Order: sequence, then structure tokens, then C-alpha cells
Amino acid sequence: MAEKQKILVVDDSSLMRTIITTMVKKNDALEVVGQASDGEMAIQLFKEQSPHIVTMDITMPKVDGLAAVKEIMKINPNTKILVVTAQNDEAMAIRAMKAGAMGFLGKPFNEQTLSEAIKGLLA
Amino acid sequence: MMQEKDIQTFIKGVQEYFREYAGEEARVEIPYVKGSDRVLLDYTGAIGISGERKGCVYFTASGEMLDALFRHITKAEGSTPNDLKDIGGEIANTVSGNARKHFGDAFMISIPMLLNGDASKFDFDMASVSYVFPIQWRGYKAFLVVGFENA
Repeated sequence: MAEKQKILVVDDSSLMRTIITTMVKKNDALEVVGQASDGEMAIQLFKEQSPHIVTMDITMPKVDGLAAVKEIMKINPNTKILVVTAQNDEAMAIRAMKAGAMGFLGKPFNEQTLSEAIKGLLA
Repeated sequence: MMQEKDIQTFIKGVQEYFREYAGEEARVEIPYVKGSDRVLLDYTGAIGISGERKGCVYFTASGEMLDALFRHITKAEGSTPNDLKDIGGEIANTVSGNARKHFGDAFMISIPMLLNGDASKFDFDMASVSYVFPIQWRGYKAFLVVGFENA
């Protein structure tokens, strides 16, 4: 049996963390190993849990999502980061990709679009 | 003054949020114009706007509406005041963030400020004129209030 892909879910909204976690748990190949409500906590949990995938919000307190993406990529450049943000404009997508994100998903999203975005990371 | 396309941006933003998460679209009415005084219900999520424009976008709703929305999305049996503040903030964040597609990337948004009830803690600078968008969902009423001007 293939190793499950570990996911860290990062969003300052507890509702959004719940939505993403609930959707991800429906995929047997994935395992949510942690949730963080800001970029600082995300970096800490990343060091502790070494997830393969991170879903990352942008607008968050303490350390924002773009800074957290850059920091995580310094720790492990093979990490697959999906930025999930309400700022779903082209300029933000480019900034996210330049920071090291591999995928970009705008809010609001549904189960299908999240699933496809994660599949895109794993392809 | 907001133009028709500006107004449609916010109407569409609210409708899309409810379509994706609430099971059915909310009805968003044409906004009315208000002075700098505030329309505030039980819970409010407010986003500060900076960059080329300055002001605030906030979503305000009754606890009953947010509780119904929270339980619909999470399938939980109940909610806490923090859950209700959080969902109000996320709606304001999503609608404001989506508006960058229309207003451009110099439309910069803050993290949400979350309030329940206490209007004295609302310390964003609203523009002298605000646009109040009445929202109806499953018989509940809420408002999106948009008040910003060129910096």
C-alpha cells in the first residue's frame, strides 16, 4: 500500500480549516497531520510533521502566507504547496508561484476544485 | 461614487460565497447609500482597505443566520460565538479578496477584524459615503457594507 501523503492545512479561519480538512479526509491517499492558524505556526508545524503537501492561506496574522511559503521552501524545496486564497487575481497567483507555491486555488472553492488542485500537485 | 461594475463585483462575490458553501445562492439587493454611521448586527467581520483606496468592507449578520450557515457548512450540531465571528470574518475576507480581480492588486486587504455586538470597538475609517448591500438567505437578513474612497 502506497504511503499516505501528509497534508498541513494553514488558514486563519477555523471554518476554512474545517472545510479543507473535511474534504481532504475523503481521499484515502491523503492524511491531514496538522492545522495552523498563522504563518508562524505553519512553519513550526512543518518542522515537526514534515508534510508532503501544504495548503496555505495568504492573509494571516503574524507571518503571512507568502512569507511562510518562502520559509517552508527553504526548509524543504520538494514541498508541494497549494495556495488557497480569496485574493484570486493573477498578480497574487504570480507572487505565490514566485515564492515557491506549486498550485493556486481561489476561494470560494468546492470539493471538486480542491480535489483537482491537489491532484495537480501530485501529478 | 461606485460604478455599476463595482457594485456588481460585490453582489457577485456574496452570491458566489453562498453558492459554494451555503447550498443555495443568497439574494443580494441593489445597495443603498448611507453616511459614515454604521449598520451593525450581532456579528461583524471587517476588512481594512489600503493601497490606492482607503476604507473598509464589512459583513454583518445576526447570530441566528451565522449559526444556521455554520451548521449547514460543518454539519455540526451547534456553534460557539468564536465560530460565528470567524465565519463573518471569512465572508468579508472572501468578498474583499475576490474584488481585487476587478479593482486590481493595489486594492490591498487586511486580516479580518472580528466583532460581536460592540460597535465601540469598530475602529476602521469608513468613507464618508458607504454602500449597504442587503442580503437574504433562508429568511435571514445580513448586510455587506462597502465604504472606501481613493487614497
